[in-house]
Amino acid sequence: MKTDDLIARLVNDLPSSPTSAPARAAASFHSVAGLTLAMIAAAVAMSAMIYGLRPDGPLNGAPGLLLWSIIAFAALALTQRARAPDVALKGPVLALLCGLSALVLALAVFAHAAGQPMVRLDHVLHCLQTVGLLACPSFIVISVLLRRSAPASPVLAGAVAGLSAAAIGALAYSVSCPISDPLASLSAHAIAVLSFSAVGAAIGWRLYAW
Amino acid sequence: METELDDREERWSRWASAALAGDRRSYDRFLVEVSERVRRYARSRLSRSGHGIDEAEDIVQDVLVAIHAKRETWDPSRPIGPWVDAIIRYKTADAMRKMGRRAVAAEDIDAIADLATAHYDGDRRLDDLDRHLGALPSREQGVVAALGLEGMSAAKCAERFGMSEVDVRVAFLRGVAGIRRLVEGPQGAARGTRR
Repeated sequence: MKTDDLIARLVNDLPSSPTSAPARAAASFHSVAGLTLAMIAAAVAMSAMIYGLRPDGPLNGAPGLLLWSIIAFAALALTQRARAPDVALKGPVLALLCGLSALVLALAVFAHAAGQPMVRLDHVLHCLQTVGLLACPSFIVISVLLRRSAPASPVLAGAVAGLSAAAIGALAYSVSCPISDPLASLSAHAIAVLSFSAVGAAIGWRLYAW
Repeated sequence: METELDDREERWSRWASAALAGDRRSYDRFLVEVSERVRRYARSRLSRSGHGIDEAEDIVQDVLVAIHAKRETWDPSRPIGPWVDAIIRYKTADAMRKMGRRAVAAEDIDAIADLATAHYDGDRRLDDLDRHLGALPSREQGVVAALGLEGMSAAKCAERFGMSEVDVRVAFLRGVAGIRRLVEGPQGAARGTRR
């Protein structure tokens, strides 16, 4: 096909009235915040239904709730930015991932200093399953949005999508997690979140390519 | 130069905003100007990388389709030039990656097939070839024999073994590296795969 003919076809395909612009509507801060809160509420409800509330009371998961709320909002704000091709993401995404990795390291050092194992593999495996399950619905929603977008780097978009969804999963699981030690619980959740971010990056290059 | 860029930015922003509001005439002007910019960029990238510039028009069309499909990711409060340039860079890199893969795969298969069989001139060495082929995993054995010895195309080979063409190429390269390791030792194999 000649380029002139293609242009004529594209022009004809343009709706003659202003579009509802779902992508642009979704770009507003309110809609991102609203969507985030809806995903968090759904994940918390799912966690309470599947795993029940933590034996020592859901508010004892406050450190996790606070940390993962911050990470989830920050990651979702980055996911929102990842939707346009002209937005640089590398710095903020790497900063967030490095911050989280530093947290895991610091928690491991604290645990070691307190005479506990640095990381318990059984906790990590448990959290990989629970956080992964609770992250799935959010990951699907985020992926639908990203697939309608044009991220300059599908890999980074995948990393940040995995991070957002897993942070929501970890936040939700904080109300159910039976691990009473906050150090052990946070470090196991953080490892799970970082793992899902890596999985997101690994599948993002294909899933979000356009 | 700066004024020219400012003029273009102002013009493109105006046209793109009007297009999002449904103005087809503005959209036509916008796409025509963008296509000229993409064409210049694609030709320059293709000629610098040693590809034929006749592929430029495919890149132009890919970019135009992407701009059309993703037009709502442009935020009218942001400049449009960087948005268009980001799409041009992404689509050009994508197209060149695909071209590179096609070209490299074709060259590799010819060159490596020669290398693979170069050690086996003469009847005596054919026994060695059988022995070395036999040491490979069965999938790599079949692919190396089909491509390197029978001269089959990657597409036909993929059909025969029920694999994708990419998998065929990977199996072939691994198989040849395996044979080179057997013939020359690990250092020889590493030298061969870096070619």
